[in-house]
Amino acid sequence: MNTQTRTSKQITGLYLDVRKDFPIFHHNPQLVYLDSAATTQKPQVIIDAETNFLESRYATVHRSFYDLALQATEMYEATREAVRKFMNAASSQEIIFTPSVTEALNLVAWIENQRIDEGDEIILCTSEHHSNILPWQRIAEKTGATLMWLELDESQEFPLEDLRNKISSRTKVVTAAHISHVLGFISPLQEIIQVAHSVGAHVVVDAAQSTSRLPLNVASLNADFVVCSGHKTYGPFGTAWLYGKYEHLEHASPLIVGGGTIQHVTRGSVEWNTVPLRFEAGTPNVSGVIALKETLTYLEHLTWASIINHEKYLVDYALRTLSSIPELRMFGPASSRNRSSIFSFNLTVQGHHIHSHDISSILNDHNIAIRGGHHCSLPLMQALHVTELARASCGIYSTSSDIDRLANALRATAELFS
Amino acid sequence: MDLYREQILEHYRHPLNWGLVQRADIERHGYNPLCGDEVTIQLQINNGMITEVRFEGKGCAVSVAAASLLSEMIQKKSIATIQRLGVVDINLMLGLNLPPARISCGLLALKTVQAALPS
Repeated sequence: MNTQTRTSKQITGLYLDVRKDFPIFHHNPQLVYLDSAATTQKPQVIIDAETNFLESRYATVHRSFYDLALQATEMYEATREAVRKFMNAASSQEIIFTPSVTEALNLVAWIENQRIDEGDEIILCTSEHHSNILPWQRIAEKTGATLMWLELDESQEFPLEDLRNKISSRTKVVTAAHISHVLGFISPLQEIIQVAHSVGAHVVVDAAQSTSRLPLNVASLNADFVVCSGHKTYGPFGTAWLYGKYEHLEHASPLIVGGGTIQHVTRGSVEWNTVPLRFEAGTPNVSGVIALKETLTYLEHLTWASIINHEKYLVDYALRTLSSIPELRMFGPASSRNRSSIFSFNLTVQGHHIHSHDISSILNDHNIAIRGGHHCSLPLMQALHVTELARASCGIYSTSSDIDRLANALRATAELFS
Repeated sequence: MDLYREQILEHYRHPLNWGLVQRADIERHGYNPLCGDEVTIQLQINNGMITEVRFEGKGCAVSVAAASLLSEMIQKKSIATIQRLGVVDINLMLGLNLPPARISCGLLALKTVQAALPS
């Protein structure tokens, strides 16, 4: 690439121009939506896909033999195949749909429980989300295993050195968020997997924040488990999936049991269904999963190159713009090199800390949506010696003018409290 | 919805009855785990009535302002009266309707006082 001249895209940051695809902005033209890490807005095509199914193709799956039901089942399974391709998994049997990443993580912990004994170790970072802490805490309690915590250093990047120090022959599981939902750092997955596999430990990747931001090639990563979010990836609420290597799933029993999970049941016995249906109890979010296929198609049309360039542009722009506010302290890596468009910060005005709930409320008056609080990460708050933080996070529809409006509103907030 | 009108900010910057003393009839700590607001309240009681209130707290503007306004409001009130106060009274006291997400901030001081007093 010619580094002398910059393309107009690089100047304006318009690698992506998709706001028009999202009806929320027609209905709320003043809205500056900076809470994409909590959930993402929906493109019209995804809303249409779900509505279309509900209006003209509605039926349940895997149960009945009339045309509508057979077609619905085909469409549901077509999403499974689309997800397989999206992740470059070897087989669609390795894709399990769950209602959420939280439930997928509970399932993985349940599956791994089988191979964890007293004295074994589970490694996780202090920056993890409660959904990627509590299931392991419970497993450790039940089995007598120990949780080993990776500590952050001043760089506030993924603590790879600490992982190298703490990995041992007793480590059974290493779990890590691909992108931190508070600090925004991008974890070096290849190195993490290499370190873990060197002692025979399994790696569980929490890709809730990265499903929408970075491609995940499970074949080249040789990942054991990856959990992905639908609703944080411009897809419907109640859609998520677990990728697991077939050999890890083959002999595992499901966490949630009931209809759909079995081949045979008698009063005293059960024979589990095949993989992956064994792990999909009950009637699933059929319309959501079917719309999810359109979500993946929509992202593929945008291309990963554009999505990644758009992210990089916004990260650079935001770090520069927000660092010009003297009252603002930014958390996470200082450089855009290995961070995503998730920005947690606090404001201190004349020595006085401004609570993120106050910041959120005042920004709401400016039509700006951010998040404030402990972000389901109390161990991280404790490690950072804070109680709560404000967080702004971008999506594919976010622009540099969103960042400008955020900065102006933050300056106004500081003004209000001085 | 003008939550941050001057009154709230003024009480946040210069809260009334701020600062704990050596001895008090009753002292109680209150905490909102969800957001980290906390408050410590000291009360002097005479003949079933609050005669003095002191407090210190750390938290959002709404929680501190509510504690400040409350510390004035409950003086010379009976324990029975205070135990009957609720969110409606806090809204009247603040001069606005707390949005659902901020109710726990506005109520923290009141709940702490009510927990400290005999029922």
